[in-house]
Amino acid sequence: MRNLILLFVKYGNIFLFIFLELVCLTMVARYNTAQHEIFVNSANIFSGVLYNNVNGLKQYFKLSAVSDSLANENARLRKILYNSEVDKISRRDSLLSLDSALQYSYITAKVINNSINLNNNKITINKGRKDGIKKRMGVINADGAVGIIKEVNNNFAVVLSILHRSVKISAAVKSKGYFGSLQWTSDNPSILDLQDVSRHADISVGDTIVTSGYSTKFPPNHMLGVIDTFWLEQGNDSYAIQVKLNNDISNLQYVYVIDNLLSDEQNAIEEATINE
Amino acid sequence: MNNITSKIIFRFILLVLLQVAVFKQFTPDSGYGLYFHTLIYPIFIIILPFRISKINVILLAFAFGLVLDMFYSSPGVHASACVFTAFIRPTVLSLVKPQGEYDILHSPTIFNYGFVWFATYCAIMLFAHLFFYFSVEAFTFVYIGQILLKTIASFIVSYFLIILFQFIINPK
Repeated sequence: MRNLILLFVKYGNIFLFIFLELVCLTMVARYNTAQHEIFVNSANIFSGVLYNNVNGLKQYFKLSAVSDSLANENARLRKILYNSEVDKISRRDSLLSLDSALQYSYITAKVINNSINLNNNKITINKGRKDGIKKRMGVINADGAVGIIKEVNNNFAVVLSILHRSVKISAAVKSKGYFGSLQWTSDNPSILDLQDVSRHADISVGDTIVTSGYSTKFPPNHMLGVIDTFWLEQGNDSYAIQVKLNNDISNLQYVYVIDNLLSDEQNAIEEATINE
Repeated sequence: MNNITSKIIFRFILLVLLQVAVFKQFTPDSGYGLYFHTLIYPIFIIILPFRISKINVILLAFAFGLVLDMFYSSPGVHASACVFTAFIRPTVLSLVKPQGEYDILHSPTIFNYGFVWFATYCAIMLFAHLFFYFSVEAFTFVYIGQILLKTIASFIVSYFLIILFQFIINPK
């Protein structure tokens, strides 16, 4: 203790000097506009470099998730490829399989604007007319349906999200064949309603819901979600079914716009009989 | 002691008034004039009597700088330069030690130790003060060229006035 006091007596002026300089420089940096800006900017340069490095590190950690999703996607595509080959081999005599193999082509697009908290949610993607996108095309991602193209200009397109009250998607219960239309009526962005499934249908919680392929917008058997709950309403002929979405609309990165090469043909023949 | 205290208080007020009311008004705010800041107030620290302890010199300089900053509306800039000047004072004094020792009852002035001695001592102190002041004002050494230019230009004006001040007001 005595040594400490002696130290202070001997070097007191140095301590005082350092202390007062710190006080002064703090005042300078805090209360003078020009110096404050210099201080903040140099601090920004340091923190900017730091943030850059941290971001790099973060991205590195995210790589595993990204590569996981890519691997899943690869597995899915490989399965489709394999299955379609089997399909072709088994029906080599038929031209139908060749046609159906060519029926859908996919345009990859990046989501650049999205919302889930409105009543009528829309998504903007970075592909447009130049890339072959037209109105009323379906949009999916690897895990489920995303929406339907509403407006297109040269470079962008607006998608009515499946979380839009007016979007209906033709859906079916996988491998059981019952079909209905999927529409968002709840407030929960991960729950959709499957309507018009007959009360005689044999369904259970956990059944997979896929696209039916009846409409020209979506290819058949694309995963949509699973049945969360269902019940029969009094005096109603069909089940009320709540479907939990398989994909997360709030976290969309890349989507596929579906170009159904035969849609005009199908629509034309359906319209020809519409008044019959 | 009472005599010295009142003398210092008087000098404190006089130098603040002189600096703020007179020399601050002379500082042009455009062109080459921008480099010529007339800062005569460091003389307050330069000629403080020897008998005031190192720590008290620093504290006095701090208070003096803060009052100046009030008038210059530049919190901390003058104060930090004053504290720095007060801190290096003992070192500079021992550097330019004249023949024989300093008399503890004296002040480091022209009249006690001669013109040449004072000119040397004052030059070192003033230059250090101005350099520190303009460095803090710029707040970065990126503009070291401009800092040096300002220091030298202001040094010439202020040095001349400080020596003159010594002759006008006899602080003996």
